[in-house]
Amino acid sequence: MGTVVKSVRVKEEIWENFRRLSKEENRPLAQLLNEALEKYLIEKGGKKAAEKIRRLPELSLGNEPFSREEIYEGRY
Amino acid sequence: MKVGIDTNVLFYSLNKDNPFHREARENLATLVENCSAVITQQNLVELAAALTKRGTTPKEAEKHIRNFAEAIPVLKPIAETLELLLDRMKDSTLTGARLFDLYLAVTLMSNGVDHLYTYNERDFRNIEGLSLWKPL
Repeated sequence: MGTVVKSVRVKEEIWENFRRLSKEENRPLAQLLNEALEKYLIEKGGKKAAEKIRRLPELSLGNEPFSREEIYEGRY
Repeated sequence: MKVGIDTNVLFYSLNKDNPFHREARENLATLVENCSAVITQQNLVELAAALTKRGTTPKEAEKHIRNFAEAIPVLKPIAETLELLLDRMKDSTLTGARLFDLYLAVTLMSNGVDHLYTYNERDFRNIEGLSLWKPL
């Protein structure tokens, strides 16, 4: 599962170290790259996005639970 | 591990009148922080419907939808989604609006997501291949 993405330019020494690590750990390059990108996203984007969730406005919408029946089967 | 977020979690995270409000908001924020949370387009449309049915104007609802779409990756149905839905329907007893539960589940599963955070556990418990997410 995943998307084939564009070719990107990577510094030679980083690439060589990355390939060496992949061989040493006997794990596919794609798997290591996905992990590295995810870690970067957590460090850079996750905290900011989480803060956005924590600061969402609080609405007063009544205490009726959400139900799909209400949406899809209720009248307009 | 990626966790699909059900619409009720989004709704309760906004609705301070609901008893699950704080829990839903904090669990969602934690999943977002770990880059584990994903939502689908279906969730956002359902949220818009639920908000406007409870008196929120479409203009206000748009802002709330955008907030979620900017904070959480939004998955789309892919070619396999419909095929998986039809395949599961063959052996299912689900009817009416319950089919939208199944559609959400197969949208997640066809995108490689096999966990769901929901407050509607009963309706998802028997969907093979989908596990319910619980906070630690």
